[in-house]
Amino acid sequence: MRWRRASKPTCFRAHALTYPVFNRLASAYLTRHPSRAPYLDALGDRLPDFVRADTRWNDPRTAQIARLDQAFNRAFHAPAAPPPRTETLAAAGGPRLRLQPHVTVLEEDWNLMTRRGLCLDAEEDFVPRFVKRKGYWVVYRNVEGGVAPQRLDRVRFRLLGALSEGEALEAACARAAEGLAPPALDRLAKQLPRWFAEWTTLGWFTQ
Amino acid sequence: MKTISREAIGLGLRIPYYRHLFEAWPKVDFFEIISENFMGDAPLPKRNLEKVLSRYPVVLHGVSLGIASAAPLDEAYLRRLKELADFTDAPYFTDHFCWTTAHDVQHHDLLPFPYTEENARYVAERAARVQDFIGRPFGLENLSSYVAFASSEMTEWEFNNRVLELSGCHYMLDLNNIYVSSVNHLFDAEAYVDSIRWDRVLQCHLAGHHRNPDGTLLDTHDAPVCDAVWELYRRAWRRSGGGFPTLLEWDENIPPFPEAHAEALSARQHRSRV
Repeated sequence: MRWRRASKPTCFRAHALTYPVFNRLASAYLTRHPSRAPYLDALGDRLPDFVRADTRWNDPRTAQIARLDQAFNRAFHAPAAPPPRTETLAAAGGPRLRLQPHVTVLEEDWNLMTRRGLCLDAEEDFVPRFVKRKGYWVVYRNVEGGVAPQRLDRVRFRLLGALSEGEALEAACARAAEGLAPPALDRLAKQLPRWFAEWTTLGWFTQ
Repeated sequence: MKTISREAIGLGLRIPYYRHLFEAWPKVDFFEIISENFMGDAPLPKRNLEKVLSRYPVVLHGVSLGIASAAPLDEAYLRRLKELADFTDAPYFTDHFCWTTAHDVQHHDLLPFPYTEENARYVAERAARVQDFIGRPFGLENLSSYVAFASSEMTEWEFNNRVLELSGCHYMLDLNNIYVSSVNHLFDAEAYVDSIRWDRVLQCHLAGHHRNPDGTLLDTHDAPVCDAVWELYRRAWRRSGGGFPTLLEWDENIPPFPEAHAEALSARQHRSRV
């Protein structure tokens, strides 16, 4: 059995937590949430909540790293939900579009996504610096079944974030428009149909 | 149901091989997949498996059944395993002589247990049920182990033979595991091989291992097959009479596909020396 051997260095290299820190975190997490299934797909699903709830790990950077890891795992493993139906779009209280379970919208305060790529591509264990930098991302499963992170601007992040929280389409668009000056609002009105067409093509929505 | 010849030489299917396989489509007798890696909802592993199945026979090798666990057999797991076996049309499927679950916790490891008549009957009854449910020949693999139990009443090979006799199931014979355990527990690896009922052997595993500074061995699947294991292979091939499908496992420090495949194919040279 090789899963644990394979996943441990991947986590280490992806996040550069260092082995001692990673081992302490993993041991504490698995003691609290041991595996109950024959598969490892969902083993780390509670890690973001665990990190937030435990004072030993509760720092914003570790929490965001855990969330990023969860997003990649879900993008790969989550089952696909049915696409939206016409009646969903015409629901009382305004049309609703939910994001597929494999789609996660993320906000980062450090260069975590970039570091992840750098660490995984490196031949040897390589620890690039953390850089304090705001970033917005969506991590999803592409049509080939691979995991694809895509950078978002702040407006698209707010819009998709609102949809992921279950807001109706109109309210989500209103949240995206908050604070925008009139020229930017006009631009947004023109961009919205194109964005939704693109996201529909990418298969991000469910009912 | 697909068949695999006794002379067949295969490889454990691993992700780093995909690019080469899907571009070059080399001639390979068969592949073995880790069952659990293809039993989830993720679509990509299934798509890759479909491509592999379009050209090659595939057999299933599981790591989470826990045939010796005290917990009841996981029926949902067995249903998924049957779906995968039917999807791949695997000529047989295998798992390990081990337990994996206790008190509702899955340890994701292959854990040993005492070799007693009571345990042999327990394992045999469960193995027979699994074979019957899946509807294909079921092979159990001998462990590489690092502890032994004072309460054991028989040798490992006597135990395994007893289970196969009682259950009507089969052997997934791992020659590297025999060698690793023989060094760790100071038993005679050749006596082990000589005890095998070859009509019960579905397949043989080969792999590399790691030698610790204290001389004990760890089953790491991260290196070429060592001379001592090839020697056991020649002995096994000679004693089997008609041979058996042979498969190389390589799970860490995985070399490019042609290199791993060449290592597997070198089994032919060893056969010719028998």
